[in-house]
Amino acid sequence: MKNKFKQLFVSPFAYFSEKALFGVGFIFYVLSSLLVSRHGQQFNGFMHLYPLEDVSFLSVLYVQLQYILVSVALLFCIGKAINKKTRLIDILNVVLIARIPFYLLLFFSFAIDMDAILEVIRTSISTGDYELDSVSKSDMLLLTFFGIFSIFIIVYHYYLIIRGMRTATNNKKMGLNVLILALYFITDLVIQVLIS
Amino acid sequence: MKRIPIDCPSCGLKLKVAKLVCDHCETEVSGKFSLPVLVQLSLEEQEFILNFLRHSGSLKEMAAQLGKSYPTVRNILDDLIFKINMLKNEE
Repeated sequence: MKNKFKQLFVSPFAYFSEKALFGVGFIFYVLSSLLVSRHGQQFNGFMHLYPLEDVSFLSVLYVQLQYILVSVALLFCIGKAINKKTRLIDILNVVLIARIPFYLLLFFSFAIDMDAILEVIRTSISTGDYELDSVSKSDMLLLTFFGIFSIFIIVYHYYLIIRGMRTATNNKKMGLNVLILALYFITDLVIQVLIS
Repeated sequence: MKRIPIDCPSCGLKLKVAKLVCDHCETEVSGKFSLPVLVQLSLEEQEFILNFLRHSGSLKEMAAQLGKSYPTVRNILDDLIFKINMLKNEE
C-alpha cells in the first residue's frame, strides 16, 4: 500500500511507462478543457483562467495546447542543456502530469462555486461591510479550506515539475531545481503580460 | 551467498586480495592483487549489469521487467558508468 502511494503520488515518473503517463495526461487535458469551456472560462497562462462568454471546447483545447507547448519547449531546452539524452516525450509527460493537481483544483472550484462566494465577498466589501457579516460562516469556512488546499496544490504542482525534470534529466543539483522553477515561473508571468 | 568485502572495516580504504587458493590441488598464490572493478560494485549494481546483458542491452525491456520507467533505468545506467569510470581512474 505504502509502495503504491509512493509510486502514484511521490514519484510517478520513476515507475510508470511514458505511454501510461501520456495517456493519463492527455485524458486530463481533454477533460479539463471540457470543464473549463462548460464554465465559460479560458486559459491565459500556465495555471490561470479568465471568464469568457460563449467560449467553445475546441478553442479552450487549442489555447491550452499552446501553453502546454510553451512549457514543454522551455523545459526541453533546459533539459537538453543539463543532459543531452533528455527525451521530448519525458518532458511532455512532466508538463501534462504536473498540470493534473491544477485540474483537480479547478474541478473543486467549480463544484463548490467558488466564484459565487468570492462575488458575495466583493459585494460586501464594496458596500462597506468590511467585517463580512453578510457572508455565511459556512462560506467563509469553505473559502479558508479552499485557500489552504490551493496552496498545497500549487506546491505539489511545482514538486511534480522538479521531480519529473529530475527523472528526465538525471539532475541531482538543488541549484538547477531552483533555476528550473524560477524560469518556469518567469515564463508564465511574461506570457500573461504579453497576452494581456 | 557470502559477499566479498571491498572496504577495510578498520580504516575504510579499498581492500586488496592477498591470497588465492586452489580447492583441487591446494596450491596457494600470494601477492597483492587489486579487486576487479566489477567486484567493487554493490550487489544491486552487479545485478543491474547482469540484467543489462541478459536483455541484450535493451533498457526498454529492463524497465518493463524492473517495473520502472525508461528514464529511471537510463539514469541508473548513466550513474553506474560514471562510478565505473571513477573506479577505473582510481586504479
